[in-house]
Amino acid sequence: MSTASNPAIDRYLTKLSTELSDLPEPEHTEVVHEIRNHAAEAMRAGEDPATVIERLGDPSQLAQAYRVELAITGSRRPLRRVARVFALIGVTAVSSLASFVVIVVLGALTLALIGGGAAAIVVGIVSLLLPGDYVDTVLPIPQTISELLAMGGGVALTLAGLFSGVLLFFYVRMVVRGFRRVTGRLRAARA
Amino acid sequence: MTTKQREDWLAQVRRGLLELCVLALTDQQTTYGYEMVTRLARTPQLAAGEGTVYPLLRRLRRDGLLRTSWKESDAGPPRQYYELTASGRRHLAALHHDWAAIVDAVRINLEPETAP
Repeated sequence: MSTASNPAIDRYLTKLSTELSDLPEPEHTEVVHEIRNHAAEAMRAGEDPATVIERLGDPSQLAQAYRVELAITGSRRPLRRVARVFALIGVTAVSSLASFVVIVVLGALTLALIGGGAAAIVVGIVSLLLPGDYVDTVLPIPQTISELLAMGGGVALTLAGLFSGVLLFFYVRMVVRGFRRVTGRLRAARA
Repeated sequence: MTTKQREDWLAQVRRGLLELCVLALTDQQTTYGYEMVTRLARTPQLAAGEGTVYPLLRRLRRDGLLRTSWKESDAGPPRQYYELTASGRRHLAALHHDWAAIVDAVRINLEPETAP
């Protein structure tokens, strides 16, 4: 496609695709495709992206227009829509409980790993700086090696903690996005 | 309140008529989405913007009244053209007939009866 790579249009299409995610395939893909083609044609005809987007209207409203139009042929659509709203509420409730557990566990893990790692590093350094030399009673190895082991282990623990923190960040982001999507669809279904 | 009522009334009237117009336009010449929107923009009374036309085209396709085919364009990528199916042609003829009958019927009711 020669002209369709406009960031504003791409964002619009992404939103539309999300709003239409309850449309079955291949219709979902086809709809996004036909709106993409429309935007490309309009821009080739000299319209600027902002006008194209404005005329297409809010993505959630366009999605709703498709839904309404396509529901006309199906006789049991009204019931399905009600069922869908309840299904979404159910999924949200269950997944938020699971999310709560995951977030608490990941959060605790992150804090413990980073805290433990930092403590091990500090102990290693302090012990290295203090005078005296002995053979470790727990591990039969020289003190310096034991101190280096403590620091190395501390660094590893801290890294693991950071990894867990990153996981937590992405998980929270995913949950927030999913939640927005669900609320957006609930709003669309109610409209 | 009156404006709102008028808008509602217009929306209902346009809703069915737009289907007739889209089928008739497609019958006159095979057309692609953007061209259809542009042609309908000549008659703003129908308020047939992108947000209405594309969902309608999608339904007419699903109902088997329109079909699409890809054709090369002079400039840019290939275009998806809409054309009437056999059943779409029959449907259009029937709607045409119904529309003529409705216009007559409405006219009868709008005009005051003339004494013989």
